[in-house]
Amino acid sequence: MATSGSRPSSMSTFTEIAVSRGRRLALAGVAVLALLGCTPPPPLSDGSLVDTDRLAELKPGVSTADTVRTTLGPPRGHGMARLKSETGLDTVWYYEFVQLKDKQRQLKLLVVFFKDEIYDGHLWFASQLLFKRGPQ
Amino acid sequence: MIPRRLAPALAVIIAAAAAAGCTEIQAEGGKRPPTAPLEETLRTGVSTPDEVRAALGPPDGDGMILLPIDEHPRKTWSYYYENSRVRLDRNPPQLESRRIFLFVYFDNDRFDGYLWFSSLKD
Repeated sequence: MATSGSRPSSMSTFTEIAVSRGRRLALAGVAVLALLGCTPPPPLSDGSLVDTDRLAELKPGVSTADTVRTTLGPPRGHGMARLKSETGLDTVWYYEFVQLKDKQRQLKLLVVFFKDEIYDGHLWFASQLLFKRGPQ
Repeated sequence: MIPRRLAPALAVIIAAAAAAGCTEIQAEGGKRPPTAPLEETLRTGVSTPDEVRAALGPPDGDGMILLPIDEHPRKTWSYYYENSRVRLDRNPPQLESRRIFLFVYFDNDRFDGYLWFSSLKD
């Protein structure tokens, strides 16, 4: 009886250990997945944050594309503009910086206009937290 | 060794986590407008709003613009498209966020100009 009584007991213990190991593995898997990506991400950013104070160094009708690149850095994108039917075609350099923080997206955009490869003006706007913020 | 009865549960957890986007979150907004028709198809002072709509698609919004170069306010249509993704399988996590803005201007109900800028990869 002792043998037959202990047999179910050890089977039960074996099953409990196996289940316990399985649960621990499952919990470990969940923890790994949580660490991989199910937790809130830290602040993330993309693009380059241009110091818009440096735009004052550029002179419309004078500064070259090389000067703009040296002053502001390389653009992230480009574009075109024909602001009115009677005006010519402008090429556009586009700078942007995006930041995700505390479930909010902050954006700073700068558009630089060129006429015949000479700086012709600019336009920039930004979310409040990035307003006037230069490179960190 | 995972007990047979727990294996399906673990598989479900992994599948659910993957389905929930735990390694990548993607967000897309708007429809990418074509820019080639602005110079190739549309004609300033000639093309109508219907022709602009046929060439570029329906705008996301509209408004008015009065720039220093303008003598009077002009009607404007706006287009916007954004594609963003967060790679959570990178350490540190990586954000890639790109977009295009397009503004189209009208004067006397005729196409009168545009401005577009984009960080989208071609």
